[in-house]
Amino acid sequence: MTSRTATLVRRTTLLLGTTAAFVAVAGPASADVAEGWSDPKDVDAWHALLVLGAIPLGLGLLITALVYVPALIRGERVAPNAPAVENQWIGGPGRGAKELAGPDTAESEAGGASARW
Amino acid sequence: MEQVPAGDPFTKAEHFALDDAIRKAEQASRMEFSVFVGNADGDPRAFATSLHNSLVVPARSILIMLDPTRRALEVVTGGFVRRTLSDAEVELAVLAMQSELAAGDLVAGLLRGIHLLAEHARAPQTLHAD
Repeated sequence: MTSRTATLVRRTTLLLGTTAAFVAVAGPASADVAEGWSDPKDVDAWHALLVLGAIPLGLGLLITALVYVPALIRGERVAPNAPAVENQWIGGPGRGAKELAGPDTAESEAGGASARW
Repeated sequence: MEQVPAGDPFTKAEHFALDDAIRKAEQASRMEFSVFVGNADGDPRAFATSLHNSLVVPARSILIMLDPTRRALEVVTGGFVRRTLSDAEVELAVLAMQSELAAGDLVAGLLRGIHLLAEHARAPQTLHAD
């Protein structure tokens, strides 16, 4: 057996021994409920599932509904990729931007200016 | 505070103010004003000229296109409009709008632009000396 393996075995044995000693010492402490302490009954598994699972889930669904249902009733888009601004004309022809004429060519007489901010 | 529907950057009062500004600008300049606020497809300038060409009388029309998402502003003027409203004057109006837009105030930017464009597009009054 090499010295490295022997060291590993020694350390593992020490770790397991220490752990077992701690568990052996702590065991009697959890054996009985101390006098004067309350001793409630065990919690029913279904009751725990209801309190820890169903109620938070129901509240989540309720909050989601309260947020989204009014917007859906108003006919608004709630998809995450919905554009921030809907196309709209003010003082224009009122048509959408889908039925457009072609852009200007080099012969166009139109002018104007551009900017970015 | 007035509620704004999702996707609409303007309140009803702001819509009213913009409609009113356009009406007054058209009365003052005798030109057609149109504002498009939305998402420009592709090149903003090409999209704006497409919008302009889709108007009823493009030659007499001034189009302001604003894309808040891409932060693009385009003003397109028709051939007839350019007789009284030069591109340099449009540039000045666009610069004024740009400062308001950079401050995050779309309505102020549009109102200022409409007002300035109408002022410059107004045909000069001829003084007859007879």
